[in-house]
Amino acid sequence: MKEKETIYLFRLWKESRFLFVLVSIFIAINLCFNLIIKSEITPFFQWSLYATPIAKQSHYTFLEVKYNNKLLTFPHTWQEPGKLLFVNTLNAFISLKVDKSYDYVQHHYESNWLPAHPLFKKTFPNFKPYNDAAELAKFPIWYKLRLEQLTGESIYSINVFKTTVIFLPSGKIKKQSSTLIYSLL
Amino acid sequence: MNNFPLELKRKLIGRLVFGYMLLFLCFRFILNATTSRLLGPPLKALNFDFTYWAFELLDMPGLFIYNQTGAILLDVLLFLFCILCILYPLRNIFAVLFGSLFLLYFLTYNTYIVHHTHQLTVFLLVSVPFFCRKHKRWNMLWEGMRYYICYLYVMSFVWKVFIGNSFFFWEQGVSSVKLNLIEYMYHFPSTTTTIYSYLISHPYLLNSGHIMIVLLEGIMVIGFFTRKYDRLLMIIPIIIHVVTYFASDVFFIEMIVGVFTFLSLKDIAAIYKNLSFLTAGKT
Repeated sequence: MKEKETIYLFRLWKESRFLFVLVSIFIAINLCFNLIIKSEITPFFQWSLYATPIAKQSHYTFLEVKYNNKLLTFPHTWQEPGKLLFVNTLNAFISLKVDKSYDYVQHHYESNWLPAHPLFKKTFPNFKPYNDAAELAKFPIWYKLRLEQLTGESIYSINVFKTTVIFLPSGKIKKQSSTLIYSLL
Repeated sequence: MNNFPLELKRKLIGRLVFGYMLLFLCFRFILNATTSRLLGPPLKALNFDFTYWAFELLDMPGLFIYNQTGAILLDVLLFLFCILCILYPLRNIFAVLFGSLFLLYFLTYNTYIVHHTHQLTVFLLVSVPFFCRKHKRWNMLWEGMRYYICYLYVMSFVWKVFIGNSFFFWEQGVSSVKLNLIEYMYHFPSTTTTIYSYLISHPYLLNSGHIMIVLLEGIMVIGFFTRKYDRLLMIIPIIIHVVTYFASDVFFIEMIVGVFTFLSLKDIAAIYKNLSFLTAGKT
């Protein structure tokens, strides 16, 4: 009996049946999402970051932004929470607008999910979990406003470059090319 | 030691936890990463995560993102309730309101950076035990949080070793550093970059570092069986997040809030003795 009382769930059951049920459901969902479903269909549950191998690359490509002929940079790596709003959004925009990349979410939603859930479309006709031309059209103005907020300057030009670099055996970086791919403004 | 009043324990831990959160909320505000500073971003990422779908279907973005008054209100209330949680850590209603507002912020941030990040999850979950009015129930859920913190590192270990297999990919350490730091190294060829270049040219250092980090995550399994090593378990998440931040620019420092769950009654009594202002006030 004493051994039993050291078990967390047993003590929780004795303290509150309600909390016991909640915690048990939480545990069950956690294990189910991580070990059975293995897909993130709701937050909190999956801890799979960096779980898949990152392939070795011969060269690396990233986007560079020049506003008013100045380079947009973030001098400190701790600026990450703010930086992601510039970097991730721009990557998504260029991927859809310039590279015309395949949008898995749009494709899967339209080709598989909606046909399998016809009532959903009827109930929420305007819902779409992806970005389309309407959102892409608003992006340059928003990016300009964010840049003005960050720099405190009035922005009159924003050019996006695709830069390719390689790593030398010394670990240093050598630029291969930098091409203007889009002008937001 | 077992007679340490539960009320004082809750008060002290509450102030540490919400104080830590307030610090990072201020940090995010300065970096223009809170709702009032987003300026209505047009691109979103809902993916096939149904919580984000519900967020969109309930028109939360219409209320708190595309309506600047709503965006400012969410920011003000988020900060206000976080401060109230610090001032009155025993009032569960403030924790409930803060937790609900933080969920909105969490969904907003992840939706509009077009990437579902994980680091804010722990902020969201550690406030849940404070939803309880009764101290005994708070204590039970706080103990549960300790198990959850162990679980998330162990699960991360399980993913890397048994599901995604990155643990067995020798180049993982150097590859993640190259991928994450390429822009920074290119733009700032400073002293720090010289260190990164040295590490990249000696990849065995980064690759063995990656293996060590994964093993450290696995060690957290000890927490399920004993409290004897809680001091060690408290240090492990700090090592993991500080090392991965400096070595590969994975900024998950917010997750360190979880280490407060490993504070023993002895630690709490020591903090109480030395930092008595943390328990000042009637509630």
